[in-house]
Amino acid sequence: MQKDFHYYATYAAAFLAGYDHEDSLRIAYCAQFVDECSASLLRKLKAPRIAATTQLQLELMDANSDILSLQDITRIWASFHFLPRDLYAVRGGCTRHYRSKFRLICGPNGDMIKRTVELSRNKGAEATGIAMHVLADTWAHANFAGTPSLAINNTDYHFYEIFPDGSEKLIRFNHNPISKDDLEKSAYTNSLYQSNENSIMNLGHGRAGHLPDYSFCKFKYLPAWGGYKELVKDNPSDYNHAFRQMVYAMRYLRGEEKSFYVGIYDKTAVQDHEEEIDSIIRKRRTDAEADWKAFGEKLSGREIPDYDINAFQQEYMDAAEEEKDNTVLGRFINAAIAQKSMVTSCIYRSKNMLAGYTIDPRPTEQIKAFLKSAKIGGEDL
Amino acid sequence: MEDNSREAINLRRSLNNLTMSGLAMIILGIWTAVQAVVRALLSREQVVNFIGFSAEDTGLTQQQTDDLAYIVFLLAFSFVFVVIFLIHVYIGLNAVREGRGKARRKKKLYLIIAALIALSNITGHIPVGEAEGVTMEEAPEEETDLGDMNENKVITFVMDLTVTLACIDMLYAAGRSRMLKKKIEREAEG
Repeated sequence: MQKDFHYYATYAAAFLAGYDHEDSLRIAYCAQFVDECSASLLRKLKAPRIAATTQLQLELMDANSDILSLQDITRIWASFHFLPRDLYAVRGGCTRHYRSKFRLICGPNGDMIKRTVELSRNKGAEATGIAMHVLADTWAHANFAGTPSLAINNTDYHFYEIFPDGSEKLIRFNHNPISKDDLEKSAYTNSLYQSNENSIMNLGHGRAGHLPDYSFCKFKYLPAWGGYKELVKDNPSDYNHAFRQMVYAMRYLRGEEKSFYVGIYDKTAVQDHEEEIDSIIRKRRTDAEADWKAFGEKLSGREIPDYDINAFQQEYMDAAEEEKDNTVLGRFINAAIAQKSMVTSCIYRSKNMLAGYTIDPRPTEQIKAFLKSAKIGGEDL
Repeated sequence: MEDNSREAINLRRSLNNLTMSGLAMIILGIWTAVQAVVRALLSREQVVNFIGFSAEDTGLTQQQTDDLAYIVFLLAFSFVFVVIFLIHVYIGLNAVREGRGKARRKKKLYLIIAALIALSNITGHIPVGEAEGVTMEEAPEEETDLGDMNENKVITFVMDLTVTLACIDMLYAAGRSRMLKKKIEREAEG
C-alpha cells in the first residue's frame, strides 16, 4: 500500500474507531513510518539498526544473495510488509526449501495478524500504527512472499486488468522505473525478469509492479506458485475489508472489544460512510491522498498535516540515552523490534530457516541488553 | 472471470511448454551456428585436403589455391548454416507466437519441419553398419585441430538429443493445446 492508505486512510480508520485527533495522527504517522524506517535512517538517528522496518532501493541493491543477507531481507519484509498467512501450510510434491518459501506467502486473516494485533495492545499509539500497517499490507500484498523467490513471486505475460463492466484488457509491463504508469493504456512498470531464484527483483510484488498498491485495480494473473491457476486480485474489495478490519482492530486495541478475531470487520462505525469510502477506493487514479485526506478532515473537523518524515527525529536525537524510550521514535523502535522478533520467532519455530535463527522473544529487555553488550564489544547494530 | 477448469489449466501449461520449446529451438539454433563456425575455422587443413585443388588447376601458387579453396568452402558452409539457423528461428518464433496466443492462424509447416529435424537427429545417430572392406577396428581415427573426437561426439550427441527432445516436446505441446482449445470452444458453444 501507499501513503494514501497507510497515512490518511489509517487516520480516518483510527478516528472512526474512537481515537481523538492527536492519537489518530500519531497512529497514522507510525503506520506510514514503517515504510520509511530504513537502516540508513536509523544510522543517522544513532538508533539500533535492528529496528529497521524497510529497506531502501539502494540498500537492496547493495544486498548480497548469500544466506545471511537473504535472511536479513526476509526478516524485514515478512515481518512488516508481507506477513505470512499460514506458516504450516500444506504443500505436497515439493522440496522442503520450496515449502518453506510457500509458507511465507502473505495473506489476510491468518494466525500471524492476530498475534500482531494482540502484541500491540497496551503498547501505545506507535505500536498500534505498526500493527495497522502490517494489517493493511496483508490485504494489499496477498499472494506474494516477503522473501526473494522466483518460484513464488514470479508472474508472466498472462496479466489482465478487469474493469468494472467485466471487460478485460491485457496489461503491458515495461521495466523503466522512471516511467509513470499509464492507466488509460493499462501500461504499468514492473521489475525485470531475473532467472536467479534469489534475485532482489523477485522480492514481494515487484513482478506485479504497483498494481497491488492501487486500490481501484482488479486484475487476474498466474502466480508462479499457482500451478497455472488464474488468480483474481480484487483490490477494491480487499481495501474495503482492510479498512473495516483496521477499525475493528483499533476498537480492540482501545479496549472496546475483549478479543480480536480474524475475519471480523467493523459494521457500525463505518456504516454511515460506506459509500464515500467505497467511492474513494474505486476511483481510478494512482494516488488517492487528496481524497482520503478530505475524508479524514471531514470526519474529525481538524486539519491533517502533510506527512513529515522528520517530525520526531530531533526529539529522539536530543533525548538522553535513558530517555530515548519515552520519545515517539523510541517507542516506535521498541515496537518494531518486538514485532520483528515475534514474527521471526514464529517462522523459526515452524522449522523454517528463511528468517534465520532467533532468540526467545521477551523482546525489549533481552534485545536491549544484547544491543548494549554488542555496543560495548564494538559492534554497531 | 477466472477459468480454473482442468482443461483451462492444462491448456495454459501446454502453451507455456510450447513457448519454452520455441525459445529452446532458437537458442539451440544459435548453438548450431556457433558450433559450425568454430568447427569450420579450426578445420582448415582437413578442408583443404578434402577439396584437393592443386596449383595447376587454378594457375596460382599452392598457398593461394589452398586459401581460395578454404574461402569457397567457408562461403558455402556459412550459407548452409545460416539456412539451418533461420529454420531453427522460424520454428522457434512460430512456437512462441502460438504459445503466447499471438498467432493469427494455426500453422502446420513449422511443426512438420520440427518433426523432420527430430527424425533426422534420431536416424543420424543410429549406426548403419560397416563400410565394405573396413571393419570398425581398422578404421583410422580422425585427427583434427579439435582434439579428441570422442569428446566431440559425446557433446554433439547431447546437443542433438536436446534438440530432438525440444522438437518432441513442441509437437506434443502444440497438439495438446490445439485439442484442448477445441474442447473448450465446444463446451462454450454447447
